Amino acid sequence: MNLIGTLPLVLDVKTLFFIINKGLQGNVCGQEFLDIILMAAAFDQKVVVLFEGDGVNALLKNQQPECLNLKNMMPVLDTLPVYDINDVIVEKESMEVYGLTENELAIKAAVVSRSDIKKQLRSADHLFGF
Amino acid sequence: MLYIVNKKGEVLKDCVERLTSHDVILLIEDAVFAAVKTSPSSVVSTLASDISVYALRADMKARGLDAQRCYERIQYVDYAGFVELVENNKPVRSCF
Repeated sequence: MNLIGTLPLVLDVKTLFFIINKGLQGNVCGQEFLDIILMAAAFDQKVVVLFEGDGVNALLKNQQPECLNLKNMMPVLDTLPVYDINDVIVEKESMEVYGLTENELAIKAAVVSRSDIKKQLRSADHLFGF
Repeated sequence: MLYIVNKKGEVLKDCVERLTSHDVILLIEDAVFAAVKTSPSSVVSTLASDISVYALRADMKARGLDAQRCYERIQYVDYAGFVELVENNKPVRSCF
């Protein structure tokens, strides 16, 4: 049987939402989650990364996890555009809870309201959290 | 949209804050404690009437909880029902 002939020529592209709603320093899950995001993008899926709840703090400048011998995630977040991940959104309400403004964020991200985020989530194929 | 929650407290609260009309919430693992009427977490009683609330029967049974102690609005599903909820309410968000 000719296997090549049965494979689809173009990979079915899905919209995948990756939701970061907690700090990335607490355990290894945050680091693993970022790896999954990059992997999904490497497989040419449409990736959207959403920061909400405590997760908005993962975008703060001046994080120094090295003082706890933890890996700094900022270089990974900086590489998102390299992986063609340009849809990075932050929930407006969560930013307000922590009193954050857009210029306090370390990477470029769109500030979107909870209700508009919900509309986007509804049209997604899969939602991932950790 | 279906929200699967496995803890009460902050996790459940964050999830409930983001529910909108006709969303479905499924309580599994330790989140089933929130189904009990006298539970300190009263979020289930504050949900709008167009939100469907389900609890996983196996997790209730494992913890010795029976439906009589729980809010009347809660519906119960077994694993087959769980799969049906997933199939009928895409996309699914797991809140852990």
